[in-house]
Amino acid sequence: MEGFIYPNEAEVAWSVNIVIYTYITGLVAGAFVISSLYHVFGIRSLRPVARFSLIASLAFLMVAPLPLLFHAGHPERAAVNMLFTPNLTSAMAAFGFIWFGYLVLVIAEVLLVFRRDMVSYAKSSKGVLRWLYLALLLGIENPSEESFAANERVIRVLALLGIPGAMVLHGYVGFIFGAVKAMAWWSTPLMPVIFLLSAIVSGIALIMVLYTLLSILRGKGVDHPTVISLSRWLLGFLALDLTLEALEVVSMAYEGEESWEMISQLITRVIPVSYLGIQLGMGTLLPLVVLGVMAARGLKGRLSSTLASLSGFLVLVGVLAMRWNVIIGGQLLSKSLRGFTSYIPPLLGMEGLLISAVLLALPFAILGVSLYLLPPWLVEVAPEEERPAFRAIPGVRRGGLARQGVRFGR
Amino acid sequence: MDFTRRGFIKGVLGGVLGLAVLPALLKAPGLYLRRASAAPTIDLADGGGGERHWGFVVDASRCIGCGLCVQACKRENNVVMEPEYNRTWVERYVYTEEGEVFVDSPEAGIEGFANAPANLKYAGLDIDKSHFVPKLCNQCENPPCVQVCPVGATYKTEDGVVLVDQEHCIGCRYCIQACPYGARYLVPSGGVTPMGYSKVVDKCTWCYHRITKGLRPACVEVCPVGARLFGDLHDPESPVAVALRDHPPAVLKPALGTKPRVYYLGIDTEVR
Amino acid sequence: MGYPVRALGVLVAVIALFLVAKWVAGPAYLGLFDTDRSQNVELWASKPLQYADVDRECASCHGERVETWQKAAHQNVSCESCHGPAESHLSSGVSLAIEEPAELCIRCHAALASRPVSQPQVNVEEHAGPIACTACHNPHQPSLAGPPTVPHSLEGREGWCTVCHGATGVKPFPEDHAGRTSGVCLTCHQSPGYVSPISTPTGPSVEPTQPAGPPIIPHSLEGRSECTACHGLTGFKPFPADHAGRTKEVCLACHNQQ
Repeated sequence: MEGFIYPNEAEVAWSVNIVIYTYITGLVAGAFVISSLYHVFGIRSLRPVARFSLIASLAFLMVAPLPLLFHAGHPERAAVNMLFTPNLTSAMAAFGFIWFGYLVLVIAEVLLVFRRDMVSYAKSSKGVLRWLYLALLLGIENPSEESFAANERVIRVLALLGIPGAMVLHGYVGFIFGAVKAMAWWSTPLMPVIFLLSAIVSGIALIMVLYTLLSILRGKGVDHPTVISLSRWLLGFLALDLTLEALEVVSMAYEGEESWEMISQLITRVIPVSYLGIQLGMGTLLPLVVLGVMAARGLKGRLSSTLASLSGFLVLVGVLAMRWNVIIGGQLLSKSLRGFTSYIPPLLGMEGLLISAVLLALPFAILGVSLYLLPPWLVEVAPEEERPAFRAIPGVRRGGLARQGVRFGR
Repeated sequence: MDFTRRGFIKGVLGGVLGLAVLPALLKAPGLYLRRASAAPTIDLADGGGGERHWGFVVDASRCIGCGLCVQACKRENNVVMEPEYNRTWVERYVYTEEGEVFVDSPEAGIEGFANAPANLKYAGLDIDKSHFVPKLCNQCENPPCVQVCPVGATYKTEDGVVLVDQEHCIGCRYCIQACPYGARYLVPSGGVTPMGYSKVVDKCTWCYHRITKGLRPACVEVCPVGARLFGDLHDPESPVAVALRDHPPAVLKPALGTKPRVYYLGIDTEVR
Repeated sequence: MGYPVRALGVLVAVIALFLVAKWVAGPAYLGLFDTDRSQNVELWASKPLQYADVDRECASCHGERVETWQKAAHQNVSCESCHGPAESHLSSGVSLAIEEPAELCIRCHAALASRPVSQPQVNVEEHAGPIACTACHNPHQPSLAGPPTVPHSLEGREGWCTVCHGATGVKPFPEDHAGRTSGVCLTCHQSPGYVSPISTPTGPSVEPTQPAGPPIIPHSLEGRSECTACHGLTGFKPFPADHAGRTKEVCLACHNQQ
């Protein structure tokens, strides 16, 4: 602690759990946008990752409420109270409804997109797995082609609805911060947009990195054009994100309100490594330069896709830092505008780093299970191929009906 | 002198008119003055139909920094004794000759300032002036904490006090972020509010259980110098109405539009 | 039944399950638009008191002390400011005796630059050194400047304080002064102290509690050697009751001439 803080500010109210929550919901929104870019706008270069990003989005979505439950003083009341007596003037009250609604939407889309796959798996599995697939199919083992055709329309509608849904899902988070006039570092109308853009950026980066990693793990080889295509989208959104984040700070500096004196100290003295170093430098500018040069030179091929993936990883770290800088950084500045408090998250406990690590790892575990149950990869398929009941490594077994037997990639 | 009837009537009329106008002329400045002083320096609009309209006045020019108020509040309201959790506290403002301002609040002022280790910091400075400012929940008319609570656990009563329904509160701490004055805190696991809960949000209630019985809040009760005053703003003889009558008060952070109901006398713009 | 219908059915079932869970296990008073606060307001209003209603309560048992206090410099300092919450004392007789009074005195009266100048404050080291505050100051009647200053000239009376003010003198000292000799009197009475113009912010100005010294004889003594003729207990300008039994020889010991 330095300077003066209100006595009650000694304890930072929103902990690292909230940082994790905003990060996870950001990834949800971003991954879903990738999926919708294909399903709604038909961007063919993203086709190989369209189904994968949908599953990834769902995996992260399922984990999203957990950090909040670990953070709330009375999690047992949280669900009931927020859903049954929501305060309509509170942005946070929207959480329960938005999350649940979005969950329904994404699950519905997943079930529809993977319906053909599930039909095939239901036929070729035995035991528990078979019941699982049948349950997901809601008991309809042999849907007709008209049914599938009808599904296509619904998928497109869901994917279309999911875009504003994703925007609301992460935009409201931004509003939760941006509308708090008491916090100088948070209060700006730009916050929902900044949060949304960094969410999309993190989602694209996630898909890029995961796709590259999984392709290597599957021994299938990375499809470079897909990665390059993702990197172009990343470049575009990253540029937009940087513009708005910079605009916010430059505006504050220019207007020079009474809080600016302290905010400038916040970013240069209290959190410089995390803000200037990781978020801005390593997480935004460096990837921008790398991706920008790649785009300008029209680079393709293996080196480029590797660089792109690495840039994606940097962006992922940078966005996590951004969440930390906004949430924790904002609370470090005293509302008296006379000093700073300090925050070092504990290792153990409900709001400790251990729990945060587990919560961050959990979606990946769920993703792993999902990839096992519903492999999203598009592979070349010979009809009537038998699918073994038990698979040791996800993705390695052959099979899995692709929609209309489309060839992988190009 | 020719004393005609017309002249006489004119004279009388003129005299009457003159007499009629004169008091108005004499009163005119008074009218202006009265209008100026009648214009409320504070917004006394009814807070919602209640008959009582509680107000609180902090006279910072009287505060001696004894900290008895902080101690009394914790005892009255079962607040944990740790200095990170306060319903009320006292700040000290020190202005040096060079124009710097230092603020501190050792342990929220609960032990007073007489033996505070922080005093050493001021030993070598050229102090121009210095004073204390007691702080507490401002029970705003437009409370941001009520606005942001996701479950509506915090609310404003008809007589103007913002309370927390601790059976409903989920402990999300959004209200703590939203309060511009740092008046709220989360009851830690070790502490238990009078309602029997921990990990819910607590704040100054103006000792609601006392004021509804005609008593004063504990902090007002024990203040030895009358730096804290409490009463019904609608009652012109209450200590708050009397204190505010001739002294235009300030409120904290007025630009935020929270419309606080704690009025401060004797502070300057350095006090946020 | 088609896929969409079944899916919708599942959704409805989930919501219904949630509703049932809420109805079974959720708090009773929760409603969809729960704005009835009366229960909670009642809860807050009925919290038990710790600090009592001292204006009414203390005087009923401690009448004399309250009376003294009411006329003294601390009249605007509530009993509970120093003695702490009184409710437990009223309901179960918990003692409110103060063990370390000096701590409380210092809280308010140690000199601090931040205190308003109207607040009586002293540099504790210089003022009393190791002597406890209550050695000289009665907290219920702290008086303007500590122990009464000597209201009369010391000329001709040096070293003879106990003649009038001894345990059995015409104006005896209080019991707690027992054993003190004339040599020590001036240590406290006329000690350098801080005399502040007391103006209590919310009440009438305090009347000095110390007597202004024995009144000076306003008339010539010529032809008036028998003081008690007029000023005896039954004279037409009687002396106060505490002068009972005093004869004319001792009058001049205290009452100076003009």
